[in-house]
Amino acid sequence: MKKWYEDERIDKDVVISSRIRLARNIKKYPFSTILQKSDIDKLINEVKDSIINDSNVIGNSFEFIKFDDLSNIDKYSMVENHTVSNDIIKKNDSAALIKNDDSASILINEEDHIRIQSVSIGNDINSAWEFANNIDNLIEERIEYAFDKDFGYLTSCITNTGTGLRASFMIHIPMIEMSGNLANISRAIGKFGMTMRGIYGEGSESLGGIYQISNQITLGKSEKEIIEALKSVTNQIIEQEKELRNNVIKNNSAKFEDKIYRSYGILCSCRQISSKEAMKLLSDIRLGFMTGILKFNKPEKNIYNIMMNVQPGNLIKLCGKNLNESERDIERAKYLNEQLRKF
Amino acid sequence: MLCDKCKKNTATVFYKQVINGEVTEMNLCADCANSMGTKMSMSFDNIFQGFLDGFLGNEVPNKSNSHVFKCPSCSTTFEDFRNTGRFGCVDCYNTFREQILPLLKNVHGSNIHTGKLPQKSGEEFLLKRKLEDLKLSLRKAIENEEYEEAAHIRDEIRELEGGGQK
Repeated sequence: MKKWYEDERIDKDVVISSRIRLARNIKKYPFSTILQKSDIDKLINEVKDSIINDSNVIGNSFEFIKFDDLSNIDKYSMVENHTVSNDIIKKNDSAALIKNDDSASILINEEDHIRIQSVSIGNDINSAWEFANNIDNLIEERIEYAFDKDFGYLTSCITNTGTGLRASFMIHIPMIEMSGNLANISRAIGKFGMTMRGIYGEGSESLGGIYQISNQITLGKSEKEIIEALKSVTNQIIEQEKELRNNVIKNNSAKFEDKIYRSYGILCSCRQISSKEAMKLLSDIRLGFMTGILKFNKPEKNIYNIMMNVQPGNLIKLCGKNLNESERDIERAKYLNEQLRKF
Repeated sequence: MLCDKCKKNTATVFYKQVINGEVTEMNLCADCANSMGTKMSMSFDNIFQGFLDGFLGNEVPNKSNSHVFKCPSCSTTFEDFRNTGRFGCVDCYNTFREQILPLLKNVHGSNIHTGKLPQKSGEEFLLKRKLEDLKLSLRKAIENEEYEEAAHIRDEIRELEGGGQK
C-alpha cells in the first residue's frame, strides 16, 4: 500500500499537509493519567471493536497495534512520519489503529483515551476533517463519550476541552524564514489564538524551513469557525511566502540559482551529512523544484518523503541495522547521493 | 537589562518559579538559562503551574484546606490539578466547576462549548442550545422594537418548549 507521504502531489504546494486531531474520552473510565491496567485493557478493546467489526467496511483498512510489541526503531519511524505522536510511544499499555496508507490513526490511552488523527495531502483540511469526523461518529455508535453541556468534550487537560480539535497545516516557508520575519508572524498569529511550531511539534526546533501552524483555542468556537480562521491566517502566510519567492527570482535570480545548485551539488556528492544539514539543503531543493529553478528530472520520491527518510529512525530502518551517529551520517549521505544523482 | 547571573549579557529570559508559594524571579541571558539545565526546564507542567498561580493568585486553595477540593470519584485534589494541569476524571469538571470557569475563559476566551454535539445524546443539548439562541434573538428583536419579529420568535420558543415537555 502506497503511503500518503509517498504521493508526488506533496511537492506541488507550500502546504505539505493538512491535519486534524480530535481528543475524546470515554465517560465511564477515569482519564488515562490515573487509569488502572484492567480498565486500560477494556478501553483498548472497546475502541478497537468500535472500528474493526463486521458492520463497517472502513475497519478493513485499519491495523491494530500495541506499542509494547514494537521495536524502538519502528516507534521512532512512526513518529518521524507523523503517523503517531511522540507521547504515545513513551507510554506503557498504549495502542493504536493505523490506516493502511498512514493517513489516519486512532491513538488509544495517550493523554486522552482516544486521539483521532487524520491527514490529507496539501492544502485540503476539509477532507481531513470529514474523515476524522466520520471516525468520531463511528466510535460514538458504540461508546459514550465524556461530554458536558457547557464545556463540550471533556479532556484530561483543559487546553483541549470543548471541541478537542487541533487543526494544523504543515507548511514549507524557507523564504519567510530567511527574511527574518518569522518572529513577527508568530507573534501576530498568537493574537488569533494560533501557534507556530517546528516540524516535530511542541518544543521542537524547526528543520528544513517546515513549520506547523495550528489553533490553540478549542472552546467557544465551532469546529468550522476554528478551521476557517486557521485557513485564512495560513493563506496569508502562503501568499507572503509566494511573494518573497517571486521577488527573489525577479531581483536576485543569479544568487538564488547559485544557492540552490550548490545545495544540490552537496546532496549529490557529500560523503557524510547530519540530518539538520540534510534538511536545510533538501529545503533548498524543494524550493528549487517549486520555483522552476531546478529543471531536470525530479527524484522519484517527493522531497518531503526524502526529508522524512533521512531522520535517524527511518534511516536505521532503511539500512536494516543499528547505526551510531557517525555511521548514520555516512549512510544518510549515501542515500541522498542515490536519490538525487539522476543525470 | 543585564542577566542576573553572569551580569554581562542582555537578559532575554524571564524566569519565575513558585514552589509552595515561595516565588523566585530571575532575568537571565540565553546562555545562563541553558547552563541552568534541567533546573530551568520549561516543561508544560511548570508553565501551566506558573500560569495558574499568576492567574488565580490568592484564590488558589492552600494546603490546609485543599481536602475540601477533592473529586469524590477519583480523589484528585485541586492541588493535584494545579501541579500537573491534568484532571483525573470526568467528575473533576463538576467538582472544580467554579474554579475552572474563569480559567477556561482565560485560556480560550470563552467557557461555553458551541461546537459538535454527540450524535446519540446530542438532541437534548441541541434543543437547549436552540432555545438559548432564540431567547437571545428575542431580546435583540425587542431592543430594536421589531415587535412582529419578536412575536414570531416567542411562538417558536413556546413550540420548542412545549415539544420538549411532551
